[in-house]
Amino acid sequence: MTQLLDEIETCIPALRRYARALTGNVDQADDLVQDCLERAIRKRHLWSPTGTLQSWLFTLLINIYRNQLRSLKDRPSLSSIDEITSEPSIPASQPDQIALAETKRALASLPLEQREVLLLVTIEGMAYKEAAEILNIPIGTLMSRLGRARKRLRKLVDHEPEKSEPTNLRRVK
Amino acid sequence: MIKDKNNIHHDDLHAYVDDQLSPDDASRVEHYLSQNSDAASFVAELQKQKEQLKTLFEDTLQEPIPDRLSPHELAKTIEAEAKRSSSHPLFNRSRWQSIAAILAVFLFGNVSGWFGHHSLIASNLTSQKRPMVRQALDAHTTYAVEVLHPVEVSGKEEDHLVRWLSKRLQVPIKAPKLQQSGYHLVGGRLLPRNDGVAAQLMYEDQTGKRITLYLIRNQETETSAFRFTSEKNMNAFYWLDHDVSYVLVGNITKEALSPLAKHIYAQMAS
Repeated sequence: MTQLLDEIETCIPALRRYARALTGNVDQADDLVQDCLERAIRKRHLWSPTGTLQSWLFTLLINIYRNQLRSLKDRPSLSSIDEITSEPSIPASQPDQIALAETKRALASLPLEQREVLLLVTIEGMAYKEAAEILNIPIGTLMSRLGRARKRLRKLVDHEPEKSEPTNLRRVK
Repeated sequence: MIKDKNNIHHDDLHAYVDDQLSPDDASRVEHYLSQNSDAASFVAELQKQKEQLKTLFEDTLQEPIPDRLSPHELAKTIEAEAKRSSSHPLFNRSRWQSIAAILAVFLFGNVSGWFGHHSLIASNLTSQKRPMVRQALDAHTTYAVEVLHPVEVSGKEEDHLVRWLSKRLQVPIKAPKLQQSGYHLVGGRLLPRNDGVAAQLMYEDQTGKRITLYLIRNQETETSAFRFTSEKNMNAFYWLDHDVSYVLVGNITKEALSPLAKHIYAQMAS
């Protein structure tokens, strides 16, 4: 038990980072992580050591967040979190910071299904297969969501109506 | 891995950016990029985007982990809960627990035994609440029992009260109307916070039961689901709704408090 708790503890920084990127809010993110940890400790007998502990914790966290958003949708007259674009919290003084703030804002505007994929793959650096298992989606779905997320992010950050992607990928000899 | 050995597809470029390819496949993509400037600039852009996303959140990893997220502390709390509900059904309610603890001190002096153990756990629970909720519970405890000066500005001057609090919070607020639920506005007060101010509105029913609504301004526009928490004989719902965060606290049951929270939410949203 103590060993498991120690192992859980080592996953917390990554969980907090992911939760913060996913929710866009420090307190809400820590609430989410706390919910996740409580559930993990209560349901620790359900964890099978076949997968990594970290994957299991991410799975719990994402499911809790999906459920929270679902219950949010049941409440009338409240815009979904995907529609809200918050102001950048980084002072927009240098070009780099402007770009960062724009990326942050664009991220918040992505649909959840795209955001959860993009963040697992980019920020957490997960293998596609592992990310697909955590999200409980086929790998093809993961790829298409990742593609759409990146396309939308480019579009929002660059302020260009529709940036073309290289469509004519030619044969490699 | 690259599925089609003769073609480079879009997915392969993503996989290249995300380090998902074998060294062989990666060098095949690199070779392709060297001959195709469109694809090369596309990849460069994805790489830049990825770096930005990582930069945005990398600081989180260095932050100290707050106590409320310590797995060891959480496990203690959870175990204590389980023990309490299985072996001491009578002391399930914290009120009984405090009465019993006081009696134990009276009767046995220093021999507090497991009672002492339990009160330690109660304080752990307390420290794990988010700051906003902690402050709201403390403010409720302090002022809901106050007979002479429960509020700074009376509910009779509702317009003045709302204008004043809106100005100090720097966000327009309303005092929700709860007459239908049997509660009238006693008034409100301004409270200090580490990084700004908070407002407390107090309501009372016919029997003198009081509930308080704690409001703070959100740093960023955001929303959340209703969340519930309890402590001692207090129950609380809290939620974030665009510019303002709310904590509704009362010494009434969760079932009685819940419709009030929803009622307030509905009025504030409109």
